[in-house]
Amino acid sequence: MINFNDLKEIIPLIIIAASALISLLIAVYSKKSGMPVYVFSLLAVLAALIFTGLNVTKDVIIISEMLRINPYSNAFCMIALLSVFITFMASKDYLEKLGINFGEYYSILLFALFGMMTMIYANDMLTVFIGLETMSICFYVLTGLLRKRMKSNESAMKYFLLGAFMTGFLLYGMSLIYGATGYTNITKILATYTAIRTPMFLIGLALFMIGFFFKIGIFPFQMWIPDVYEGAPTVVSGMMSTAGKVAAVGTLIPVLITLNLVEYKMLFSILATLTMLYGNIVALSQSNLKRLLAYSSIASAGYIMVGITSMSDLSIKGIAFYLLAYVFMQLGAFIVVSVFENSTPDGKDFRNVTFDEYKGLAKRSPVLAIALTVFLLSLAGIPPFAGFWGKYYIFYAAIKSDLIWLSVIAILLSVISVYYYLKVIVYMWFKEPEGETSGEAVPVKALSYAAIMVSLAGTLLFGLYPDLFFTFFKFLIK
Amino acid sequence: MLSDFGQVLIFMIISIGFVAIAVISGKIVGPRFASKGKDSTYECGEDTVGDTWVRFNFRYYVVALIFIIFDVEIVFLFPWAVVFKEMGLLAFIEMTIFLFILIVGFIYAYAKGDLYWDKPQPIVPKLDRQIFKSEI
Amino acid sequence: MLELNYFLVLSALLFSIGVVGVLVRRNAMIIFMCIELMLNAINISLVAFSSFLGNDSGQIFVFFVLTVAAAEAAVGLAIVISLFRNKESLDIDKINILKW
Repeated sequence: MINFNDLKEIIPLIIIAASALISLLIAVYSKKSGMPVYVFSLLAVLAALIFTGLNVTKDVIIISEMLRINPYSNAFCMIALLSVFITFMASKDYLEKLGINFGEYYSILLFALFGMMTMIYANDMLTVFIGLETMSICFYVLTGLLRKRMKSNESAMKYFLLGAFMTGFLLYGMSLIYGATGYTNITKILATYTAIRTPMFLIGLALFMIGFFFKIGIFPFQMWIPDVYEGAPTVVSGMMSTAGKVAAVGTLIPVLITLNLVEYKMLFSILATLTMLYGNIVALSQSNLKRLLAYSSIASAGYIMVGITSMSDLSIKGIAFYLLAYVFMQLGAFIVVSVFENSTPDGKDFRNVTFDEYKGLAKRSPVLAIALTVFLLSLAGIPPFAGFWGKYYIFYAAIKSDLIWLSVIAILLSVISVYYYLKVIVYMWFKEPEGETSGEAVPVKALSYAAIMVSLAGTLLFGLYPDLFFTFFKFLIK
Repeated sequence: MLSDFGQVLIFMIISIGFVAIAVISGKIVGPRFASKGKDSTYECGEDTVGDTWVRFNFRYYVVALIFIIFDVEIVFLFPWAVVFKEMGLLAFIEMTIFLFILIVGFIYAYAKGDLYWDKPQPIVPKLDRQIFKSEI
Repeated sequence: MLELNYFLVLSALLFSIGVVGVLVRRNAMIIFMCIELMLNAINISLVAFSSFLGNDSGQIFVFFVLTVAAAEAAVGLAIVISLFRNKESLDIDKINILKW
């Protein structure tokens, strides 16, 4: 039975759900102008962010044990909210240029956000499933938003077919787990020690994890990532690679760490190694920055997997920090790419914006070049930026739980990654601009500019004061 | 004594046999005279017009989608209706919220004009010559 | 009373047929139907578990699976239509602009 006091705890969820519905109505009644719905949804996300921030230390299980609100879920939730907020800021200019600034975009994105939050707060496989599907279905739509363009169509189709296929596996896993334990409630499942090591449960768990590994982009299930990110509208790719990953990781990790599957550590570390290898090695041969960022997203899935492998309380905190840094740097980089793409002549389809076109960006618009340089260096894990501390905490957790060889591999591979990030930076700073647009500054609208600045500020702030994050959520690192 | 599957088997044999006898006896006993008119496609007794593979109007698709959404919602309404008396006011409020969410979707579809079906606009023949008008 | 295993075997078989269909067939619509088959196979196993364990959560789960499958169908068909308008084909081997 629902207790009305519980509703107080899920105010952020209610805000997002209600604003998604209201923005749908605003969108349809304020015909052409996208402004009202834009402002409204931006404010809604901000309100949800503030409300979540006010009660970060709550630890309760509510609504017939369907939702679990604790500092970890709040942390992941706030990171997802932040990512969507920055995406919203950058979306308007980009979409207007492409002629797809529909009010529905904001509504769908809010629904996706609702799905993510439900999933992160979920304490029941049913809630996990509903949240995951709400998120995925919205992502399919957002990927295919540019419906006149072949690439967008194609990536939406691929994403949809693979995503639905993997949902089948996830669901089969859930059904087996339910059969083995007799519960759908995650707390109760984790409490049934006798059933938890039966073959049926383990097969179910494996299928369940496959579903999530697909969403995160762990090795054998990563093939969709580059295609989908390249075809989708750039701001949407940025959002999917950050918020989508945060949601999937935030749901899976607490479960896995409570289960503490120590005997499968080897399997997990092999998957982590392969994911990092694949992401970093294939990225070396890329010439399109959007695709390069997609491969770097696979590589970072590998770093997250290193965190999952160490299976300690410390590693959740490390992953949470890494994801926060990741939102700023990855989303920031995607937004810079989106601004840059808009400045190039608009073809029938997405042109391949290769590295060559970034030549001399530092002379054309120094601010963009500085921002992109910071984001890429942070992604590579160079010290004064947030990305470094993210990797540092994850590898630290891995070393603490005797996975020294794995962290050595991870560090070596992230040294390799410096090469391809530096290539872009060299093109921007040390080459002369060429082509018909050479010499002109890249036009940046105020809101995109603000979004880039927020990401830049985040990358620098958490790079210089990483402790801010841990003191805010009262996570103890020792 | 038959097992559960035995019962199902007997049931299957009887039902298949029943249909088979009806169909086969019809084939054997009934008279058959082929003619051109009889073999043609039946379309309300008229001569068939045009190709079978025509493009359907796109509106059918939108209407079908809206139908699916409101069709599936019934699945939640039935169990609710069964326990409605025991659950009382709370269940009523919850279901109202649920239906409200669906109605927002409906309003959206309505405001977008997806439910608007063009009325047939008969083509009135235009006459240039005045002579008929005066005769009427 | 029938044993639980019969239902599980049936569900596993249907699920496998769906998986093989997805992997073998090349038409996007048929792949889509195979995915629906997989979801329905899962529904069978959920209902069977629910009936044999004597608790309702499995059956409630089935309701939600059905609803989600409907929503997925709606979005999936929309994507198929927009692809077909551009490409005039649903053969997934011909969907190949994006690679490496």
